[in-house]
Amino acid sequence: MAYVLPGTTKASRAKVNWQLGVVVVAGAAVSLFLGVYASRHPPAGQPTFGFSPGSMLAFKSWMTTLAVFFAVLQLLSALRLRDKIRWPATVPPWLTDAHRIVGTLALVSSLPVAYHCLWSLGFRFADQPLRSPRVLIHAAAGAFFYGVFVTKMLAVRITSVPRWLVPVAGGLVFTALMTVWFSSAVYFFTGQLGG
Amino acid sequence: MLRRVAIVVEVLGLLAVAVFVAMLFTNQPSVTRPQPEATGGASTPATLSPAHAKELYSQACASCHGEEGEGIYGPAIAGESSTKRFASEQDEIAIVTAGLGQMKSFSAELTPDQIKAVVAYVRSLPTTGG
Repeated sequence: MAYVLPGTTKASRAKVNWQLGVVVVAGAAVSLFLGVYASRHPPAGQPTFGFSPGSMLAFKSWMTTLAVFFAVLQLLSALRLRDKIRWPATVPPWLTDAHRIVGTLALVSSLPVAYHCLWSLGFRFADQPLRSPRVLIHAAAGAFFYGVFVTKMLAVRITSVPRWLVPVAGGLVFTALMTVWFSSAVYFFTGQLGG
Repeated sequence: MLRRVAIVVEVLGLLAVAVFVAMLFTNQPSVTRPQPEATGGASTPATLSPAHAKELYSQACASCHGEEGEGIYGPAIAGESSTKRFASEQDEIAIVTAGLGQMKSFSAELTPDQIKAVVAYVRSLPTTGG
């Protein structure tokens, strides 16, 4: 019996396309859910986790920075695992697991930040003339981050999806997180937030 | 060994996501509506001291506009930041009462007299922030 490469028969191509559709739709559903929640949930307008208003902002900025730190580690480990960089010379046997751990830590670090953004602040795009492109970009990137994260997590567990999907999704996750960071924490650290 | 750590971290991460989603739907904001001062009836601007107005401001407004009205998520509203934006005190009262854009209505949390006192307090603050 001849071995058939995945994706080379009509049936297997249909299966791959179906799985690809599922992971993309699942991610889109997560982004959509977050957007709908932010726009429909009455914003509480309160700091969370016992922080004062001022320290809440600092806490969020540092937690986002921590998430970026873990994301950079994950990006570097992914580049090494895919031989895009050559250091260290041989791939350490533990690198795959370390890659998974720092990715999870990046996600967990972002959750308290997202919780305050969604629950306390919300997003009322339809109600207001857009005063700040920063807010729009920040909100869209935040929702996109979690959606594409879900897509990537599902894609890594399905071996038959195209090989390009996981690195592309990972790149989008990293880009989204960096956009969130640049549109919030960087503004805080440079004294531009508020006013 | 690290494989087990990765699995444990991922399971804990899933739990964190579950808690995150649950909190989004179950956590209720603490009620900030302060009771009128015990004067035997509804409060009036005369009964709302600047200290009381400041307390109301801290409870209802400071989380977005900052303790000194310097602005955090919401714009700066201290002093001239308010008086330049709202020439009339009534205009600012209307915004606090009805809400605007991302700012919610405070009509359910503050009485009209409390809103008036808070607006007066904000407009009397020294101008800070942007």
